[in-house]
Amino acid sequence: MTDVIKPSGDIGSASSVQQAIPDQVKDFIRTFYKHFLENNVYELHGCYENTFNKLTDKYYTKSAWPDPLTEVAPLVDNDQIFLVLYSEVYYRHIYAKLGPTLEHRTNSYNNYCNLFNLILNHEGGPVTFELPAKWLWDIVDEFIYQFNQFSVFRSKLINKKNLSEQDSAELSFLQQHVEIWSSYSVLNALYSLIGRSKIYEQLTAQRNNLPPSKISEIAGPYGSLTLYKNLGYFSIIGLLRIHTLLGDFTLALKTMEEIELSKKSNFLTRVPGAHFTTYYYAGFCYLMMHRYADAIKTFSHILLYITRIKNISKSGQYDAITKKSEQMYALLTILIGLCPTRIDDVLHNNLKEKFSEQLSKIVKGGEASLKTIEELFAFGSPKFISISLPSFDSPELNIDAIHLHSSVFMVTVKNTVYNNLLKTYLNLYSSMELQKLLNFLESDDTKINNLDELKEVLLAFKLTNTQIKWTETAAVKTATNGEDEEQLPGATSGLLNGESSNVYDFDITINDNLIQIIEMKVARKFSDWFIRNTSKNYFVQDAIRNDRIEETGKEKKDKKTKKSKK
Amino acid sequence: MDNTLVSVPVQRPSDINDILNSLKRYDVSVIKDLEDYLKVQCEQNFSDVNANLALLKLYELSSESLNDEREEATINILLLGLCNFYNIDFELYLHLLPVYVLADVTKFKDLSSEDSSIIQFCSYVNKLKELYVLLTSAKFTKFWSLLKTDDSYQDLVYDSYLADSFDSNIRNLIFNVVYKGYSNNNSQIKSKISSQLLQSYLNLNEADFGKFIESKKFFKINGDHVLINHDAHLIKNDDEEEQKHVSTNAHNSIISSENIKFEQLSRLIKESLEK
Repeated sequence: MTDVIKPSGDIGSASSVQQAIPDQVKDFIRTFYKHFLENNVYELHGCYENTFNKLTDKYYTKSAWPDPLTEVAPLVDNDQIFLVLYSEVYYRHIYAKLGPTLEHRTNSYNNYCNLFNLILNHEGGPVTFELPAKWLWDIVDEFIYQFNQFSVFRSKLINKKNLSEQDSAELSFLQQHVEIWSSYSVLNALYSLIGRSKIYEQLTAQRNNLPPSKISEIAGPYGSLTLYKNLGYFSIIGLLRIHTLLGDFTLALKTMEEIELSKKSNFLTRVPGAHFTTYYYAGFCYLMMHRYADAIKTFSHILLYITRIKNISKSGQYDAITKKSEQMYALLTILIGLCPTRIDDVLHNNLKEKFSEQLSKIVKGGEASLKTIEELFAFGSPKFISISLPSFDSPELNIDAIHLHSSVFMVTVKNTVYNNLLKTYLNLYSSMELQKLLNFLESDDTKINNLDELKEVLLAFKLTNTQIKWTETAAVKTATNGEDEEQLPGATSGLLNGESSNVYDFDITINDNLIQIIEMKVARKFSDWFIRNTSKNYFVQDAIRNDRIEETGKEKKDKKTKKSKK
Repeated sequence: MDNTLVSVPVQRPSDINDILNSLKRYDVSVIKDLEDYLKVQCEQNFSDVNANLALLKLYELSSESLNDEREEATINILLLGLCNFYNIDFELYLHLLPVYVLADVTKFKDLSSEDSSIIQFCSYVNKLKELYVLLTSAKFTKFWSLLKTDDSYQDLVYDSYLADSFDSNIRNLIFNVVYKGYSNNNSQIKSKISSQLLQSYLNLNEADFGKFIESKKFFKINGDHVLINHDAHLIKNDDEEEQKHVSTNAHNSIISSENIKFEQLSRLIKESLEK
């Protein structure tokens, strides 16, 4: 793309040309390049993760890094490959700190095209350089982020009322170049990376416990290299994200077929960003498919993980993580409201701290709860993208995609508006006259006027009281599963699997003008709780003994004897 | 509710299967194949959610303007979704439609006359959504009265590929829902539902209603009520289906047992030995 219009008042190149590059930065770029040539992943990671950020804070908080072509090229022997990689970081910095212009957006897109072309269609087989896993994840992550940003930027421009001269120039440029950041090209890049790395085949082979030699044979000359393998793996997560953003929740979960969510030694945990992204989007897809129990499990798992690592993670990434976890708590609030579930105490407390008011509104039910749910949904959902191109001729049609997704989501939720209220009454009885229930409900100011309408509400309850839930029996059991560990969705096979189950812990049947309530409480498992708390008890005892205060030990002993009976 | 997203309909031909499981699903040239397959689904009265989702997505990706084929296919897909309102098919379809479909069309003031087809299309989708809302909130009587009295709804449904089977599909589904809501597995209690109510749910006249109920095993009209036997069979006659539905209202007490591994207790035992 050479005919990019030059917007005036460019922040990037204009200002940075004037000032010479500080020596420290020059040295850094040279070292960066040296490590790249030496294929030293460890040092590269240091340069990328630490030095770059330090120098950004020192010199480049308000301006762009040195221009790749005019300023950096001479420092690195005009090495095209390194320049593409440097440009990736260069544009990412502009996006994060300065606010990109249309030119930046276009050039960054072209740079990604070059980068992926380089990796996918390198002459003479796979590329030989190696990059840190974190960087590879950032490439995929940023690629999708910029795609997302571009669609926001474009629809803002189209819907703008009073266009300046520059605006209209940009607009006509966009109209002529619809291929820039098109959904097609973005999907194409990710699918190509997956295809090249043969990552699906590799993961299937791993699951079937094939020997390493066999796996690398399957992986082929590209997939057996770490760079391709990692990129392929991250692209799968990228696809999960893109499909979700485009509103295709089914396909999103389907692309995750081969990735095991709950494996302890999971590759995911090594790159925190990838880890959170995966769980957030997988959980969100479940929510959109009204698979509440699965969504709750998925969100709980990752939120617990976040609370555990909160104190050790680096501050740089922490902001993004905090934002995401706030969003997940918001969604979790909706979920707990719609599908009352016991969650971990820590999470419950955090949730109460943030959204207790909203939760009580949702639990109360009624029309007011719907508004709360919509607000939480808007806060917690990702920034959706419309798959098709926006209409340049009729800007009115370019509505933010969230309105569509939110109103579709609410269609089913609206049917649950009486469920929580019904629950409070039905929990008290094993059978009751419908007339009696009607009287109760009338006193609650509901809009149910007669028995026939009540029967409709009850049938609707019956309809909303089912959800698909991931179950172990639906999945293929593997021998390595720990029996006592609660299984996350997709622990052993595809995330889409599942069987029908109830949302509430009771069910109803109607018999003319009588209603029967069937309790289906699942007995809680006590052993784990028991063992954990006994250990805790010992721990407290030890602490007390060490402090040489032995008087209080008596009380604990009582507890112990009680437990030993069991 | 069945998990229709993982099951592959037996009727799916292998070439469609190829398309769905490869990158061909993004190739505009397969639109025709998927449209033809959609017709087959309507004629043979089954639905393949994944194939239809792929078609809707392709329409969006190709950024093709709203032509007649696209409009027709979309409406038929949504009707198929209605015929499965028990699952969330319909919602999944809606998520993949153009972003403006559910917007308030009266607010589009500046649209040129060529866009009138868009407004028309939006109103169709909104109508179908309205029907879906009535079905999922179990307002069956209202559903039928809207469908049968409003011409615009009639045109929408009875000009489609599904014209012949739509009524009976929906009727059977409603019957299923009623069955689920009213049956129980207690042999002491025979459930019943007022004939009049059920008749209005199903939108049948006296004679047809009698025939309909007669065709269902274990259902009997008794005076002004319909009796539902506790081990009643479902309208669909394949055994698997029956098994599944009969068991849902079963009230089985669950005996829960827990397995505790010896290792888990090792710390506790160690502690007590040390004392």
